[in-house]
Amino acid sequence: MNKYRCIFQMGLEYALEYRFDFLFSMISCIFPIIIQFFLWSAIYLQPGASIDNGYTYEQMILYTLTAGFVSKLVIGGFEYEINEDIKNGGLNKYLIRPVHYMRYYFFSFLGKKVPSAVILLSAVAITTGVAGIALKTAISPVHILFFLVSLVLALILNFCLMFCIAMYSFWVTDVSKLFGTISIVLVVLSGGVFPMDLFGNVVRTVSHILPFCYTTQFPTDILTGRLSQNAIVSGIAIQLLWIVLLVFIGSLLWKKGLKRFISAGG
Amino acid sequence: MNVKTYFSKLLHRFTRYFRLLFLFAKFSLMAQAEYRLNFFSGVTVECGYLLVKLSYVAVVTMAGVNIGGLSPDEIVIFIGTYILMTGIYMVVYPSFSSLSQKVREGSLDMLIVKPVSLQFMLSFQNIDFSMLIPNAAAGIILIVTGWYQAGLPVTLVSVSGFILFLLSGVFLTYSLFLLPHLLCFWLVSNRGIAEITAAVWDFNNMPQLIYGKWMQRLGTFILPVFIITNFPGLFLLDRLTPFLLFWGLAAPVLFFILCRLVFSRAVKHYTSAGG
Amino acid sequence: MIQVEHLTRNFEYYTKATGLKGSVKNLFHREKLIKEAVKDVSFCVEKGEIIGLLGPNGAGKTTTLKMLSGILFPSSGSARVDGFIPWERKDEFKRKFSIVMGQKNQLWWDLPACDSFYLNKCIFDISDGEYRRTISELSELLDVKDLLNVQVRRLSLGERMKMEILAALIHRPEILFLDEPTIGLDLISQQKIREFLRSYREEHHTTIILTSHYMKDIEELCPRTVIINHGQVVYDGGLLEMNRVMGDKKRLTIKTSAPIDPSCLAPFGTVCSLNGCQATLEIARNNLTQVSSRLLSLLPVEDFTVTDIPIEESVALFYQNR
Repeated sequence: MNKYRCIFQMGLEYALEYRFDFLFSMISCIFPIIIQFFLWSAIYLQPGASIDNGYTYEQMILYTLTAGFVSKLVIGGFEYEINEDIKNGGLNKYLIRPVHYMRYYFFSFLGKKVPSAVILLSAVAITTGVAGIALKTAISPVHILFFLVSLVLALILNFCLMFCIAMYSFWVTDVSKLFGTISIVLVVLSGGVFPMDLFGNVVRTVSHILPFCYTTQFPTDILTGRLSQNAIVSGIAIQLLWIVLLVFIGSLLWKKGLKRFISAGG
Repeated sequence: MNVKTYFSKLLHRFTRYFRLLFLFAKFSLMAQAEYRLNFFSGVTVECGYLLVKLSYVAVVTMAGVNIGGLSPDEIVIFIGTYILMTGIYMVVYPSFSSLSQKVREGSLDMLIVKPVSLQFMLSFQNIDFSMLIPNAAAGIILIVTGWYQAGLPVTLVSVSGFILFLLSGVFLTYSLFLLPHLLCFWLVSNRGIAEITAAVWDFNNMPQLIYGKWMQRLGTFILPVFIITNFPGLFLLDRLTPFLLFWGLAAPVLFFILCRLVFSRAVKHYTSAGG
Repeated sequence: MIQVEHLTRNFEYYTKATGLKGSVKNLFHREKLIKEAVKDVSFCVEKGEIIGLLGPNGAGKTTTLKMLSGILFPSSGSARVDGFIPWERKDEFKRKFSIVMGQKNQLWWDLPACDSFYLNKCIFDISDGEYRRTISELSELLDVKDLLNVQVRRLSLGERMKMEILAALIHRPEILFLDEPTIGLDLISQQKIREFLRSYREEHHTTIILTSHYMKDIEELCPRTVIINHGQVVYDGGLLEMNRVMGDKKRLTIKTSAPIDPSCLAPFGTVCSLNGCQATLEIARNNLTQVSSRLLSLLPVEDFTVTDIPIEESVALFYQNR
């Protein structure tokens, strides 16, 4: 386990090195929140309006304040490195070392997340705290606890998801540009912009089966207090289920891809 | 010099610059064709961002209520204008964003010695059409749909006024969004500023009417980003006072002058890199 | 044609302590330092003359050329190029000259060179006929006729440099600034570019200022050389006369049958090297006959040669001296 702690630390140091880049990207996170705050206020607060989309005004504002930060936190970033490894043969250096490739990236991913997690979680704490006072809605400690648990699972789930997508590099050499598109689409599908539940029954049902919502919308919904205890527990169960499934798919793709990589001569 | 020769000279200058613009566009396209994969991935990434913008359209139409005094159909016109403008802005964006690199590496040197306006060359040397295509298509479809659904009149005045404010928005975009990039002449890294500017652009994803009064004033008079995508729609809906009509056309001129002034200052400040 | 008087250029820069602490300190207080890249440089170039600008790295050659082409403003001093003040950046002036920098390129990387030439044709507003004539003449002379339609990125370094030079000459400038045009090129390419410059100048009588690291470029092309070191002019004149300025010395190499005793050489002149049976001495030209006859009688000399001090070494002496 010691070597993975080392990898974790390396990731952490790397992230600290680039902290200013991260701070700037935080800004691009705050602006959509402002826009959406005004949008929802305009929709909900006009005289005589009764909005029936499953969210109260307070829940929607809490969602808006939290979802952007959560999606920023769980987002990948390592898929580019994996693509580089496979494309330029940098993979070989992992193959000759006694490390497990997927685990290597997992711990490095977690390490890199630490500084952003500290900043983003404090941002979430401040915004929801202030909003809670302003909107007079208290967030129960149980919900906060569940939120944190599901957030950790969401982080792992998104890692597995992106790892599977990154495995695609074995079959198509230059997909790095596609990753940009994929990650934007994933932010939308996971509810990082608006909750998927807003877009009709069909979208809702489908999105509750697919893994994407469980990376952003699900943890955020827990915090808004919208979900019942049962829904939370079953949601966490689905998260775990998807993680197991994706780890399985990921290692399968890894094995198949590696065979291809080696037969192609590295 | 008499008036006639003056005008013929002016005309010659105009055609020359126009020809150069055409050449820059052609060469950029030819250079991009060398990297077709990059071109197509530019299109797909932009489609991803388009999806985000369209999700706002979906939210507004699903809510089905008037927002800031605008019906969902009318809001669709505003969002369509925003998407179209984004596409147009993205045409010159590569030139803007590569400016700091050109300053840092000193490749400006070879441009300064050319007998053509330096600002002109820097603004239009790298033109990219890949991001225009999806945005222009989606934007125009949204504008036309919204216009039709809202039952707005199609008259010479409404259409030409709408287009006039679109054009004034294009000019304002140029001046307003080149300004922050000019800071690279003074700062070592202006990445943060560029990123903030890009984020400010996205405020236009929604009509300005949803924002608070002070924000609207700020975005109309001090940092007039709202003019760019709101005024065509506001004109169409007859929501512009005579003063705002005037300001909507004067602001691009004012900011262009400001942009020219800052640019000439910036170039004086230029210390060529590399020995 | 070109008059440069007391031209000076300072660059400001800041020191920064390393680490986060340094960065924070930097926010509030920065120590400003001034580097004088060019100090009080004066020289004149006649119409049609070609001069070489010589100096070690960072001596201020490129900075001088940049000021003469209007890319940089000077801190003080004045310069006139064909009657124009370069840093006013008048379009009329820009049509008169051209600059080629070995480390910067104006050609479009992904396109054939002829496209960039055509762009320059439009920028400089040249008629179709004149443009065609220029291209055919120069591409012939540079031997790149078959490469005009090849993408620049596929060209070799030497071919690319030829194209850069061609692009710079499309508007037939009266004045040409060449900053290290042969840098990084192999010997044959260097030779080709030198030959081109010589024949082009003979035909068009272009005024040229050339900077180079390679002595050979200057030796072959420039009858007159201005040497700059630490931003200052330290020599202005012919390369061949340089030796005379440096004290007019000759170099004497002897080979003897028995090892030489160092002490017996010392009275004759400066001992440059002594290696067993072989020694090299530097002596004043007017002492040559006297010294050599005495050496021949004193030592068992087997071989005896007299040479001039190589130009490289004289120049290097200039670099060290000030």
